[in-house]
Amino acid sequence: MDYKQTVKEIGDRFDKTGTLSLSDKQSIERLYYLTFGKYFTRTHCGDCYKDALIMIRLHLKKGGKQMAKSSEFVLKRGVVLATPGVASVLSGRDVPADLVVAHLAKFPNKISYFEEYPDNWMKLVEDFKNPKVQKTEAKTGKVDTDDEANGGDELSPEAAELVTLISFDLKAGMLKKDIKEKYKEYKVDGDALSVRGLANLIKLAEKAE
Amino acid sequence: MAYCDGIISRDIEIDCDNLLQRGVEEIGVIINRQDIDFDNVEYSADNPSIVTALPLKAGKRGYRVVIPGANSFSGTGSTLATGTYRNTFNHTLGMVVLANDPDVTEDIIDGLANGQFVAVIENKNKNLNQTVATKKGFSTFSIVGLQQGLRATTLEEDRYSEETDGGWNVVLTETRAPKSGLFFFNTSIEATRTAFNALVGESAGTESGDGGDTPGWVDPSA
Repeated sequence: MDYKQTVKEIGDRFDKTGTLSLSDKQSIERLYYLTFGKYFTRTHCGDCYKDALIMIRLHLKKGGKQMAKSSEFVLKRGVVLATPGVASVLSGRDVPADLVVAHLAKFPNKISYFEEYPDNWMKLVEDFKNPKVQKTEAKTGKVDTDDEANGGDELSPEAAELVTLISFDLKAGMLKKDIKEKYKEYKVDGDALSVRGLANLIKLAEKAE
Repeated sequence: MAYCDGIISRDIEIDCDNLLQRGVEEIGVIINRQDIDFDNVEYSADNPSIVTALPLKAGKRGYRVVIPGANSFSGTGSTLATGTYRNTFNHTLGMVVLANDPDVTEDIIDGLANGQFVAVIENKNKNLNQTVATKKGFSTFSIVGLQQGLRATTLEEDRYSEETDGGWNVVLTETRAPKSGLFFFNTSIEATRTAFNALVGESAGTESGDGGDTPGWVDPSA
């Protein structure tokens, strides 16, 4: 059952009977969380659930929607992700996907700490561990990032050597514009290097640093 | 089969840098034992008296217990339970419910009467002056009931009680637990407090009881 339908059904039942069953109350707790992004807290008030239901219905009536998740990963309560050597501690919904993936790359069994996670989490981890090598066609300057279509081709030996040279220049503190000037006449695999092709090689050299 | 634990391996002496402090802080967390994700509970590899992860099942939460006063959770402690072949421990958790109305009896007292629970309490004795960085604050949080479950052994109300003013006096007991004490600690006191707060749904760094705001979310009621 979807979010809006659940709200409608509980609201209709409440309108007819004036009471809320235990399961309705549990649903309201969940809906409150999905709507406002924070946990419903009872503080011995007699009408907490009714008030919460009214707030949710008003929110929907005003055109509000179920809140978007800040991350596809949601940690179970009672656990934190603390990576040795990393200061940040992740908990609850406050878990940026990139940090989670970095953690899972080291500790994949920690996926059991999450109550929600994307189906393709293993692929995300694999991608993190093995960054795609952009297919760089030095001759034309075309770069194709679609690895599935192109098989993530590696650089030709000449292009790889040029990346190494650029990397040395970067380490030496040379500015990018100077590097572009220096290598603009270069040929790779017999063909002149295009502006875009050179820019992509510089990017690769930066990553390799 | 191993001979497990019939030895001691440490001097019995006073830690002058971390003098023992009596008592428990005012706020604890009680969890329905069936809501704990036992498959993923983790203990420290170095010390099995330390629980490093106490995950709850999806959608489940713990409930805060606030006991104001000079002696919060009075009656909390452990005693030896002698057995024929092996001695164990009985752990008790004392608390009061300073309210008495239909919601309290329905949502709290009736459940306490027959359920099994796990509690996490914050000790005043925290060991904050530990020289080993990874042990700083490692005695801050205690877990009671994780092994055998806490069950109610006292549930009484006295309308003329001087102490509870007509509220409920509660004692939960875990009987015959193999460990003398379990602590909750992961990496640092800050990280552990984050996990402790997360048990009842609070975000890191928030102290309000509304669950705290999570970045990226907007409260339309605000």
